[in-house]
Amino acid sequence: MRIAIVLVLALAAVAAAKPSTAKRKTAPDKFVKAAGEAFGAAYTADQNGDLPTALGLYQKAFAISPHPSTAYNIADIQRRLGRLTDAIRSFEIYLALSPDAADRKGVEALLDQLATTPGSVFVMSGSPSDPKSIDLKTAYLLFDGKILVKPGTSPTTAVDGGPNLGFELDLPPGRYVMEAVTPLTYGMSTCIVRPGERRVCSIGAPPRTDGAVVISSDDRQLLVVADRTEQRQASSRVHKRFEHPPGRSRLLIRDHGFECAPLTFEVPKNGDVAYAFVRVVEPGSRPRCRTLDITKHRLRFDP
Amino acid sequence: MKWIVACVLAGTTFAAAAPDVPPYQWPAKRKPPIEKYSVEALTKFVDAVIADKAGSPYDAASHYRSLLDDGHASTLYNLADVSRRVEHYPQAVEFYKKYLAALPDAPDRKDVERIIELIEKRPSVAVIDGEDPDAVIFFDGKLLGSSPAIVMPSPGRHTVDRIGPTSYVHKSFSAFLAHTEHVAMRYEEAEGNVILSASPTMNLVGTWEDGGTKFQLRARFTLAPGRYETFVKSATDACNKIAFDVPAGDDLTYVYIDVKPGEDKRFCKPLIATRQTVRLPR
Repeated sequence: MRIAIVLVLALAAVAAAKPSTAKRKTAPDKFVKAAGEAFGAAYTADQNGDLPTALGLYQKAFAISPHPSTAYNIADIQRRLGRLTDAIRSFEIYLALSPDAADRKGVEALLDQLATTPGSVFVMSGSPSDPKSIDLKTAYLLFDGKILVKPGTSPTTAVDGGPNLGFELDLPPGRYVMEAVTPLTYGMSTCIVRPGERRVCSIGAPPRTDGAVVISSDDRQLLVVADRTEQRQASSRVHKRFEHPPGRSRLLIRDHGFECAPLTFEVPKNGDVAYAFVRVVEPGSRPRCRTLDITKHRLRFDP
Repeated sequence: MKWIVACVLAGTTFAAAAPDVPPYQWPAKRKPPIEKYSVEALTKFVDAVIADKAGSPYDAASHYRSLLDDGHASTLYNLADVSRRVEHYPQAVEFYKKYLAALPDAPDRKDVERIIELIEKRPSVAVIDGEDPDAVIFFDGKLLGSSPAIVMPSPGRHTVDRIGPTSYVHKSFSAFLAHTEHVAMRYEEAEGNVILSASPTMNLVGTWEDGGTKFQLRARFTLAPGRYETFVKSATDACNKIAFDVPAGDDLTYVYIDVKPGEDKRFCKPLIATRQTVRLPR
């Protein structure tokens, strides 16, 4: 626990004057004084186990007069309250305010740990009366191309007792492309998972989307096209379910206009779906086709 | 890979250097705030750090850019670092230099100057691609393989040939240190069993006839099987004849014509031709 502000205030009250010459210290700045009082109250509330009150008072102290110790204590309480995203931000503020902090390495290790703490997601669709609702028990549910739920899995109610049916999933933090593929349709949505936090992600789809192929990606700069005509029209097949002639097939991938190696796959003809997820391994880099990681599945459905 | 390429004659040494780790792959190196930031600025700085750590370098750069008016050295350094990692090299160099200007006594001045030097002197890179996914690429007369291809050419003029089952494109481009060149080659329909390509130093183009046979330079056309000997264009353009065989069958004959090193003459060109056979899928 950081009590540096309290110590600063106490020291400021002590006058170290020599007998011969008056050398008084000025009274503490009114803002430092007010921040010190809020800090002290927060400290007491924290010791009493009243974390919400302690957090509010520390935040008040920081807003009045920012200090690294206050930032640290805010982060520590946010961590204990399970608000890990806020805690990460506050610990970063602490490190920014105190670049030479003796505990820098320890805080950085803690930051890594917090940033990778899995979060949980409740995936649901709309009510049955919603035309865009998906029958989840018939669906493959994929996150960034990874199958997390297969058809035949019955959805459950949420752990918090909400009325909707869905699936509770634990996932590493990140921004995910969430997709549902059923015998009848295809839906896609974005789901953000935050460290240690629980979120609800909803997915819907048109009542019917035909096709034996689904192509997906986590990068908007990627084009997947059938031929150079589609390429020149920038008409991408990403996040679409479409018909394609059965058998061995190939689509062209373009990244920022650069040619990548073609995507090859086998198109089924018995109602199954060929699925491919193209993930960009190198974020950001531009002047060429970036390194791609392609995950393929054959999504099997009963005829 | 459906193509089988038989290299019949070896050519000159390929100029591409062994690739070192490029600057964008060097690890992130962020600085904490060196100078005093306002709370508002510090918050933006922290947002940038968090975005960068979360794998969103463009968001990080955007946050850092919102702080540029303050001129803080840490902001300038971190923006340079992010720019380097997303391969925005001119911006990276700009902000590394601004960092040094903002902090004349920077303890890492030598390191930063070295980074600037390495970025400014990094090898040329050429990304060669196009619209025909079945094409193979020849670079300065040497087979690179299927498209797309990345090479690190020596500075100067270079030739690219892109050959597909029913296409052929020929291009020349200039390579410069620290530059990335995108050699994008559109689909151009062409049929035939022979390609006569040529180096950029040979500034000859067009067609000519020799003994009743029509030849085309930098083009794909058809010749009957047999041995051919001809002056390129004319006996006044070329000092010597080039010779090559066209085999019977479906193979494609690729001939690369270059000026003999050190023998360029004023009134005619002493030429050397290398032939390779490209087996096309049917």
